[in-house]
Amino acid sequence: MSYYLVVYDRSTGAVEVEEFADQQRDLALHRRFVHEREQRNRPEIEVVVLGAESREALERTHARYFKTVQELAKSGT
Amino acid sequence: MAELSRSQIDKLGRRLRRAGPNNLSDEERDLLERLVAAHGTVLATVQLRLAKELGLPVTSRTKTTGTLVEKLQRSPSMALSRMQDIAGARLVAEMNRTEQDQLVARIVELFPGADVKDRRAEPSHGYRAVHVIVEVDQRLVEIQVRTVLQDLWAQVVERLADRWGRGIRYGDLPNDPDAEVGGGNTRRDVIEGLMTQSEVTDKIEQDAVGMVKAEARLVAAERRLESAPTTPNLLEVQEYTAETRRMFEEFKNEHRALEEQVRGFFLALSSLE
Repeated sequence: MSYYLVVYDRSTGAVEVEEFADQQRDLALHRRFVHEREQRNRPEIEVVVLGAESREALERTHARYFKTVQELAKSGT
Repeated sequence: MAELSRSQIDKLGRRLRRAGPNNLSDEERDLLERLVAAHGTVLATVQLRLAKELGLPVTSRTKTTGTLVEKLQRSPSMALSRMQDIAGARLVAEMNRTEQDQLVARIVELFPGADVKDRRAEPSHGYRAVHVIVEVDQRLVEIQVRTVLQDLWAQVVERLADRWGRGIRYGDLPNDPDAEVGGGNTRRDVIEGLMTQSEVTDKIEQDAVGMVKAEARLVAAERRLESAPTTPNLLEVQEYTAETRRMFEEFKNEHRALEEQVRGFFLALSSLE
């Protein structure tokens, strides 16, 4: 299992991802809390820690962080 | 660090609701972070168990501070200690309705006493899935079980909500609802279209199971007829079987037309401006 710190800008769709090893879950969460405090005046910034077997699995179940509406829609055609 | 008691958690919930997501004090953040971290520990256990027992990819997340406080504000009577999705796991798989039901039943077996919320029967503003709420070490974890189509619908709405206003997830109109988005459609049209597609998708997924079973029965009946042409009332049975086949083909065509409708909708959406 890996943990991914995702910093996502809802207004632009820009996303930054940092990967943490299984045993670094607490560190990932700590980093999230620090980011949230730093970005407290920017509600458009979403900071989340996601746990997944792989980046690929993560991008499948949380595609919204990684794809535009157009790209998502295309996968349904 | 000592864990928060239920009354401390609920008191914190009331404070967070009053403060709002953008005005939390450092103390409120400290307490909330302790609560989220504790949920994270339980969530890791649940996720590991699900992945091991089900052999499917499972992902997880703890709720962000902003969405947690917004939810408290949307639900004035909700006690923070009973919020079901501070910790959440998600399973998405290509499956029909029966397979989705079987997967849910398997999860309930793993976590006896789990509470199943069937949001296919009672969708939330078009959102459909099955949620299984399990309690581990006195903490709730929400396990979302989605088909690929249910997930696609949810991801599209979430992504649109980032641009057109988060309220569309709860039935509000998009910001600037009459803004044109291409193809002569407005934002309002797209949201209405998504609501329709949610229903159509649900029908497709429900019908798919019945169709497989009906076709199997029909093929068996046709084979029996071929191998036993001396059946009493042969003509009658042949006519009945042929009529059933005709009705089945008609139903199958309607089903394909619905699938085509969904594909057409997403195709149009893929060229959104």
